[in-house]
Order: sequence, then C-alpha cells, then structure tokens
Amino acid sequence: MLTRRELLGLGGAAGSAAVIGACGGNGRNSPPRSRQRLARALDLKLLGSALDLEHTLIAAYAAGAELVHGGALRASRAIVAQEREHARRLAELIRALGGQPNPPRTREEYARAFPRLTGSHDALRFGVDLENAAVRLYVESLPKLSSPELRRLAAAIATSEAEHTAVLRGELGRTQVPDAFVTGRGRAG
Amino acid sequence: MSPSRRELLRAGRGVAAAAPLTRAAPAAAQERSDGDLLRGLLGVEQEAALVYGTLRPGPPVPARLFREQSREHARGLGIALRNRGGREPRPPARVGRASPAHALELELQALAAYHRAVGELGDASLLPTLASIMANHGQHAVVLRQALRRDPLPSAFAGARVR
Repeated sequence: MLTRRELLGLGGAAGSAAVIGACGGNGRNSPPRSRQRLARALDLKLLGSALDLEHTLIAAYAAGAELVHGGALRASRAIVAQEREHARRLAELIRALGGQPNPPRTREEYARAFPRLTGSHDALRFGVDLENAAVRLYVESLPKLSSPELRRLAAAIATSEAEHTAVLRGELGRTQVPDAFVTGRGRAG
Repeated sequence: MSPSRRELLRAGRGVAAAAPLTRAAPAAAQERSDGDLLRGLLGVEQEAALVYGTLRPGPPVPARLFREQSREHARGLGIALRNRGGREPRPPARVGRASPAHALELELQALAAYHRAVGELGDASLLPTLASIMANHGQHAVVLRQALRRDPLPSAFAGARVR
C-alpha cells in the first residue's frame, strides 16, 4: 500500500514556485497584498496536491481495469469519468490562479508506486484506499482554502470521492456507509 | 464535562470528527451568523432522522443505520449550536410512512444545504466536520439511487440539484 506521503508526493509542486515567491511576509503583520499572495500560494499548493491525487486515481483505475468485470467494471468506468472531471476543474483553477498544473506521471512511474494487484478484490480494495486518501485530503484542506468557492468545490469533490467508496464497497459486498462522519480515516476503511 | 459533551463522547465513531464542534467561535457577530447556519443544518438532520424512522428497515436501504447516522450528525450540530448560544429547533412531527424516493429528495436537500454552508460559515474549524457530514449524505444518496435503480453517480460535483 502506498503511504500518504508517497501518494501526495507524486507531485504537488504546482504551487511551489508561487509559495517560494510569496515568502517574505509573515501572514498577520504583512500588508494585505502580501497576505493575498500567501493565500493564493497556499491555494495553489493544495489544488496541486489534489490534482496529483486525481491523476493517481485515474492511473489506478486504468491499472485495475483488466481485473474487474461486470458491475464492478461499469462502476469503475463511471468513477474514472468523474475523476477526470475533477482533474479538469482543478487544472482550470490552477491556471486561473496563475499556476501551472502538473501533468500526470507516466504509466510506468505509477506502476512502480502501486501495489501488485492480482484480482478484482485487490483492484476494488485499492480503489477504496485511494478514494479515502482523497476524502482526507479534501476534508483537511477545507479550512486552509481562501475563498468560499474553493471551499465549496473541495466539499463537493470530497463528497464525490466518498460516493465512490460507497459504490466500491458495495461491489466488495461490504457495508456501503460505515461511518456517520466520513473523514477518510474511518476504522472500516 | 457538560452532559452534551458526554453525549458526544458516547457517540463513539463521531468523536474525532465532531471535536471541533465543541469549540466556540471567536466573534459574537459571527456566532449569530454561524448559529443560523447550524440551526438550519440541524433541522435537516432532524427531518432526515424522522424520515428514516418511518422508512421500512432492511435491504436495500439500511434505514435504521441511516437514521442513527443522522442522529449522530444532529447531536454534534446541537452541541456546536448551543456553544454559540443558539437553541435547537423543535423536531418536526412524524407524518405517515416515507418512501426511498422521499428519502432521496431529502438527501439532495441536505447536500445542497451543506454545500451552501461550507461557503458561508465563518468559523473555519467547523468546515471539516460539515464536509464529513456532507460526504455521508452523498453516500446515503448512492444507496438510495441504487435502491431506486437510478444512476448512483449522476454528478462529479455533489451538492448541485441532481436526481
């Protein structure tokens, strides 16, 4: 299983140049323009991490596509279409904020980072783990995002990823909605 | 420890996510505004608990589980509301027996309400908890859509009015 650091470290540099460029102010005591730059830099960093994770999800579903069949394959296709929509929207926002979205890594790079998947159960289980990582990222990013629009987007995508876990858990024959508070850290996984 | 906090701790699974709900917001004006939002969300949860209480339990919709989850949300929101000086709305009266379609409609209203609230809330420490509740409602909607033989994932961005 990939560690969170590995997953989120698959890129995350979309906003790094902007973060460095914004250094020099110290938040509360810095003038408004400097604070705005810092906020924009943090937005870019968080959106960049989210985009990297969306790319990872897309690659993971592609890697598992040969292993799943029937309803699980249909579900997987529907989910990956939504991950692509998330990635498109995040890339648009990064550009709008003056950043440069990271491209996906190569198939080989993802394959080296992924666990060995030997069947449908492995592929679905890996999907649940990655979706939970995405829920965690979006939920924990929310208070750090600077605008209501970005917060709404993060909440909407977190919910979408949580919906994916419900579909995948159903395909695995598990309780689809195990936790009242979906943080991506639930005991049920 | 206040009784309400004890209640929350008894809720078990929701403790970690609901912990920020026990913090008070810093500014009085913000408390009023956030209090209104929390009161509205609490009303949605009360109604959801009522609807699932009138839904026939068992497959394909685990109505009892969903009712208990809505009650967990309501308990957490109630604590946050009281900490901001607000009063919980009176629970709605029970009317007839609900259907999965009715429950889905309510879940969509809940998603829209939380989606609005995360953009309006002043106290950022509450945002992860509201998002974690919103995500749970999204999962309820998946199960209900599957029960109704509808597309379980009609939108990549939950919170918009999608059936």
